Formats: sequence, C-alpha cells, structure tokens
Amino acid sequence: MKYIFTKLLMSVGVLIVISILVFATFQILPGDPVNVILGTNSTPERVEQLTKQLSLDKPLYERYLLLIQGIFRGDLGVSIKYQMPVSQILSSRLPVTITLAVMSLIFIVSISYLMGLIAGKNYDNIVGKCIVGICNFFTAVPSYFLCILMIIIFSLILKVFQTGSFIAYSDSPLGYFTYFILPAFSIAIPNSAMLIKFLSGSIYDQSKQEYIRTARSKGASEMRVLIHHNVKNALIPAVTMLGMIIADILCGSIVVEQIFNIPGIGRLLITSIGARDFPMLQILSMFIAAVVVIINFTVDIIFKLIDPRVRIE
Amino acid sequence: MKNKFLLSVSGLNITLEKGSKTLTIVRDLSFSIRQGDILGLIGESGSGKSLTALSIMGLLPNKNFRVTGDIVFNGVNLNQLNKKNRRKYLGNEISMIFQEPMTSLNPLVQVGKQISEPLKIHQSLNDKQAYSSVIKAMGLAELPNPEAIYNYYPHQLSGGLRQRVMIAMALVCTPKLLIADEPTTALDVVVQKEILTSIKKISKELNISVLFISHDLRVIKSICNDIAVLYAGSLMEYGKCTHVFSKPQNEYTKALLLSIPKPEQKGKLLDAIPGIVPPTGHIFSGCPFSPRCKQVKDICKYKMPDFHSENENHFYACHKEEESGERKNT
Repeated sequence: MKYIFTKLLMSVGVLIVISILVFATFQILPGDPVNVILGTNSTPERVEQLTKQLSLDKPLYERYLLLIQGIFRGDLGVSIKYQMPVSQILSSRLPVTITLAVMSLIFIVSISYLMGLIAGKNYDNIVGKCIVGICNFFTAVPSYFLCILMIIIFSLILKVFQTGSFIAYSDSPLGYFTYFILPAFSIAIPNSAMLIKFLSGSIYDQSKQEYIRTARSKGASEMRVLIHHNVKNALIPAVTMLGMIIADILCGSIVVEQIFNIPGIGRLLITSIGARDFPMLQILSMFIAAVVVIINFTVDIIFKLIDPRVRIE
Repeated sequence: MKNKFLLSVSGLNITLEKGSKTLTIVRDLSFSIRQGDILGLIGESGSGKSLTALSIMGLLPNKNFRVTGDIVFNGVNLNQLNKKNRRKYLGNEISMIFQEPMTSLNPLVQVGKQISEPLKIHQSLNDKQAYSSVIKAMGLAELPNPEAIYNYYPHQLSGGLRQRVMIAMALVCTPKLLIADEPTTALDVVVQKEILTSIKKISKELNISVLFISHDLRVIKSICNDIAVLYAGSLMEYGKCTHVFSKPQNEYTKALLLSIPKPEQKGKLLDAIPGIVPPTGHIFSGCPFSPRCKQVKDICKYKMPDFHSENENHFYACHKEEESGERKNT
C-alpha cells in the first residue's frame, strides 16, 4: 500500500512539473494567438478586446493558475480553429483513438504472446531465427509504407475492408469496428515485431536459469515449465515495453490516423499545429504527458503484482 | 552385496559432441546403491560428477550430450525410456537437490506452491489437497513454522532455509532415491552441518537412498555408507566408506586423503596433489591420473588399469598390484 501511495505521489509531482513546462513552452513560442485569430488587418481596439478575453493581459503565474483551475472545472478553453470548447472536441475524438488503441492492443498482445512463446522456445533453431528475422524486417519498415501496403492489398486488391471514408459509430456500429481492423493491424505489426523480439530473448535468457532445471527435476512437462515458470519470469521486462507501446498508441498514431482518415487525437494534433491552435495544443500536450504518466504508474502497480521482489527504495 | 540394488549404473558413458569433436566426459562408470544407503560420489571440479547426476535424471542441459550405458532404477532401465515416461519418475520416485539454493527456486512463486508442484504433476492434486502433504514435507525438512513459510517468497528466506525448501520439495512425493548435488557447498559451515544431519536423518527414517555428490571428503565421510571416487570422468576407487578411508588403494584416493589438513601437521606444508585437473574431455591413453601420480609406472601411461578388489566391499583401479603378479579380477 505504501508502495502504491509513494508511486502515486511521484506521478502527481511529475504531472505538476510537466504542466508548468508545457505552459512555459507555449509562452516562449513565437507567434501571438491574438494575431493568429484576427489576422494582421485588425483594429487596435479589437486586439485589446481579444487580449482581455483570452486573459493574455494578466501576469504569467495567474494565467497558469487559471489554466489549471479550468482543467479541474472541465473548462479546457476554446479552440481557435474550431471556435468550439476544447473539451467538446476532445470528447468526440478521444473515443475514436481509444477504440483504435484497444483494438491494436488486442492484436499486439495476442500476436506477440503467441509468437514470442514460439520464438523463445525455438530461439536457437531455425524456427526462432526465422521469426526474429521477420520481426527485424517489420521493425525496419516505415509505418506509412506498411499502411499503404495494407490498403493496397486488403482494400484495393482483395476488397475485404473499406478505407477512405470513416464510418461513425452512430451510423453503423459494425462498420465502425470493421473500419478499425486495418489501421489497428498496421499499428500492431511493427509494435508486435518489437515485442516478439524482446519477449523471445527474455524467454531464452530465463530458460537458462537454474529454477527451470529445478522445475524439470520435479517431472514438469516442457509445456508446464514454459508457461508456469519460464514465461512468468520473462514477462516482467516485457511489461515495461508494453506500457511504452500503450502510451504511444493512446497519444494518437499520427501517421496511421492520417492515412486511414481517422478523426482521432493524432490527426487533431496535426491540424492544430498547422492552424497554430494554441489553447488546443496546450491541452493536447498536457493530455499526452498525463497519459504517459498514468501508464507508467499502472506499469509500476502491475510490476508489484507480478514480482514480489519489487520494493520501493 | 546380497540386498537388491535400488539403482545400479553400469558402463555409463557421457559424451559431448562439440562441432566435429566428441568429448568424453564420463567413461565406463559403474556403481550401485542399495535401498536406504547413502553413496558419496566424490571428485574434483570437472570430474563429471554433476553430469552423472543429471544423466540419471535425464536432465543434461544440451541436446549434444549422449548418454550410453544402463541406468537401472528399481528394475527399469531409465536410459531406454522415452522422455514422457522418464518424467513420471522425476520428483516422484527420484528427486534432486541442487547446489545453488539461491537461484534454484522460482523467484515469483510462493515456496509452498513450489513444494506442492510435484504433487500437482504426479498426483494431479490442487493446492488445497496438497496442503497437508506439503506441510508434512516441510516438517521433515525441518523448516521452522511451516504454515508461515508456506506463503513466503524465496527472496525472503536465507540460503539454509531455501535449501530446506528444496529438500521439502524433493521429499513431498516420498521418493525412493534422492540425488543431492553438492547441497551444502553454497552454505556456511554451521548451516552445512545442520543440512547434512537432516539429510542423514531423513534417509534413515524414510529409508530413502541418497546419491550424495561432493568434493569435500569430510562431508562424505560424515554421512555416507559407500563412496565412489571419480577422477576426470573415470572411477578410481569404490567401496564401503570405512574400508576406503582406512585402507585407500588407489593413488589418487591416497593423495586426496593426504591433502586434508590435519591439526598434527600444523606448521608443515599441505600435501597438495601436484599438477592440475586435465580439461574436460581430454583424451587419455592410460590411467587419467598418471601425469600427476607419484607412483607412476610405464604401464600406467598407455593402459587403463582394470578393477581389482581389495575385499568384497572395496574395489579400485590401479596397476600397482599387477607388477607383483598377484593380479585379481572382479
């Protein structure tokens, strides 16, 4: 319990530091939001009015506190580009990215667990070497290339999946989920490739440990040794990597969302940068930081659950 | 040798194929253990004693090891069984304790559950059904407060307690044969003595045979009935402990016994054996000990000595008798 509390405290600290850093960065960035909104041909009165409206005339620390207060009240400011509350935009984009993330994760976990086991068990023979070789290939292929390849094969040639026009959940729930299969796969392939390589290496390392020999000396079958002893220990380092992958996907897979025309966080980020949508970008940056911190916290908790040796220093 | 043997190993050869080379690690090794007896297998590092133990278990670490010869346990030649049938013996009728208690337990599993695993495998019990047997085995291994230790993880226990957990694990299915591969080497002297006493007591009370592997003559002397001296993969001397220790016949055994420090020799140089152990898999034309032997003769260098018997409970391989013409055959 003390472990969880300490970790939680540390996460909150990190979040506060990040929010200050993000806020400060947006103050240093060139480009005045007022100019962006009004353009260069506007009256000084209009400029002054908007400056007041955006509280840009207040001192820095006051504006920072206003921002944090707003976040706690659910008021995230108004997007310059969309002329809509940021919270409203996020609430329409977030479910899309979460669906994509969850589907990719299901693919990643199932593919890498199965293939990692096979490759780990056969690490020093031809089967394992082939799997690792294929993984090396897929980690090296750029993701936009993979996406285009997937579209050509599954959408244009085989005509299994439709890509291009996004299907909203309200229009057709089935269509919505089917639409995500290809993009989720495109995210899953390079990430699984990395994870398989990692997991199989870890399984192989653990298979050399003496407790494996002890398990065999008890008459355990190879399968039992693998599942009950070997993989359990090999998963510990792999969980860290999986955490990093989850954080990465949740923050929006920019390339994949762009290519598959998915209105998620990744695309929102790109459009906001193009439009110099400062309020939007500020919140998105903090959101991404928060996701990473929360995932890291969860990984720490999972560590504690699977490894009894973990203690906080 | 009237009693029936529980385990008899005869003509055991262990070879390792390394690239195009074939290294012989153990050659023509034979020994037997009666029910309830403790046989000490002694030898320097690299003499093949641990690999002999693993070959009885069928757990040699690499596919390139080849084991030939007969390993007859309770009338069944284990070396002729397939993997699946052989596994039925492991942890059930034959169990093993390893040298390194710190790394031989799974760090993520409670020790109680690790002890119960042989019961789950061989008798398909679940944790609940196995509980009373586990506590009983922990008691036999003299673990203090078994109910509490059941829920401990290995890292919470000391080396001595972990080794007792290993012993409990080995005893949980009440085996007929226990193989102990240097079970006390990694422990400090006080704990060593306690563990040795426990093993001896368990063997006596439950009538379990023990194959005890060590490089420490004093340890062997304190707990074993029989002793087999191994040098560079060959058996040098084999027999009742009392006979071998009082009247060693083989030059290597003699040299080993001389190299034990004794209080009355205080201040004098220790009788260490000159030279070093040959590398594993070295090819010998004669007696493997001949390059280091003080009594070496010409014949030693090209002919492996046959086994001679000093009496019906004591055998040794050496050429020394042959010259005087009183050659005896076993």
